[in-house]
Amino acid sequence: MNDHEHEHKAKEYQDKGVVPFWPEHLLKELVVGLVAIAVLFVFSLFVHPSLGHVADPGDWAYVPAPDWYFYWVENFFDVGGYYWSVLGLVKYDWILMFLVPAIGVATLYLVPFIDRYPERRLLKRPLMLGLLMFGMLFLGYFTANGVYAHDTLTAEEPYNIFKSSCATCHYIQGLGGDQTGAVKTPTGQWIYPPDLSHVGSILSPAQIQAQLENPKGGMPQLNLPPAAIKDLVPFLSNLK
Amino acid sequence: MYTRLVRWIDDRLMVSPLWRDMADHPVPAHVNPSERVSAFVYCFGGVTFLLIIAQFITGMFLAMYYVPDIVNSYNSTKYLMHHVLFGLQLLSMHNWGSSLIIIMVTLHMLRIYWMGVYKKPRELNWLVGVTLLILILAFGFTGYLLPWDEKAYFATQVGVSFAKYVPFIGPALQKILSGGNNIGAATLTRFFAIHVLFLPALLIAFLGLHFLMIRRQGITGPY
Repeated sequence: MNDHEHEHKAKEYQDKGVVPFWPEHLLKELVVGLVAIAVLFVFSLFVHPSLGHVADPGDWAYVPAPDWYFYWVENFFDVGGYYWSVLGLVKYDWILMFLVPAIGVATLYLVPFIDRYPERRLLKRPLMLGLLMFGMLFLGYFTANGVYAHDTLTAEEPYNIFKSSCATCHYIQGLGGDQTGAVKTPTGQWIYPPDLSHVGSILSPAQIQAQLENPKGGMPQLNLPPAAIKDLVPFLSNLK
Repeated sequence: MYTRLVRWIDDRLMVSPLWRDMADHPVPAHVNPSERVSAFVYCFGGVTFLLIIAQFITGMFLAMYYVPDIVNSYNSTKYLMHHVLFGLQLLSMHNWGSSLIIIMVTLHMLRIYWMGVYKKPRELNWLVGVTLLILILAFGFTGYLLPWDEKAYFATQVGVSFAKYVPFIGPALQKILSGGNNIGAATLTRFFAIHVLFLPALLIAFLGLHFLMIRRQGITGPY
């Protein structure tokens, strides 16, 4: 294209209120894009993903957590499943677990065909505004609830592990423990598993971890999974 | 020199008309952020695309170190994080990128929905867009398993277990997804292949459709 043609085109574009894709439009959009890449780069310098313990299928103590954008899925099925079973509908699980999500996805796909309003302004499309509000509240509620439920579960987990794995023999603050773990010595004396109410001021966290992994004294090898040990060490260390 | 090179190529391939067609394509000024700052809302889709390209690049570099089997996947990830120069930053960028893409896609969808862009003639592009959203979520789900730590393993176990509720084909579907009765070696290689080969191929195809339709139909005007 020669210069004359170019000028002609520039004039035509100006009259129409448009700009050519390159370079006028794309360069300016790239500036916005580069800001996004810069944000990505800066985040990656300061906040890193963590790698947990290697996958152990036998770890019964691990509380699974999805990525943040899937919390709502997990929590919707959790909460929904609970009420579904309260209603005695367990036999019709597929309605909650398949039909409901399928209807959700289908609705999302069919949005252009549901929206028959001639207007484009959202406030003039009350049904679509309602659907949007419903969707946002749905996602927001189940995401927040999912995070809350997960936090509660992780916070209760050490005590639950203590109850299931330790309280058979030991007691803390008057709870748990009975004669199960008592050992009779050859001289006829009874040795009882120690009271763990103040174990945190007697043993260091490292000593507690060593005892859990390779028990000494009369304590049997419990083969505790990594997530259980990870939860129990701070829990026991805090008993002072 | 440059002109002669271009002419030499043009004599053989006729690239210039294609390029001119793309470069001179008129774009309405109301979507240009330098005309009106509020026009940045029109950039969410483009930014998503740029972030997807960033994911492709960081992903390619990650694949240089990652070994997709149950013995080495965890160890190779650990090695990348602790011993490879910039390895941790690379992994971080890939990890953050996935979150940023989800945010940008959500904002992009909200803009489309808010402005009723999907109305005639753009219904078909909405269908392609929702498919892209599902593909992107599938990227997130399959990528989560790859480091093979406990978080990865148990989240995948929960996720795959949802498949069994699909009527009739549920149990078969669950078996196909996990490559057996449990989450194990076959699941990992399967998810790896889906994450780095199947999904990118589908994503590129649907992105192509998405852009072709935008080009054909143009950008919606203001109300």
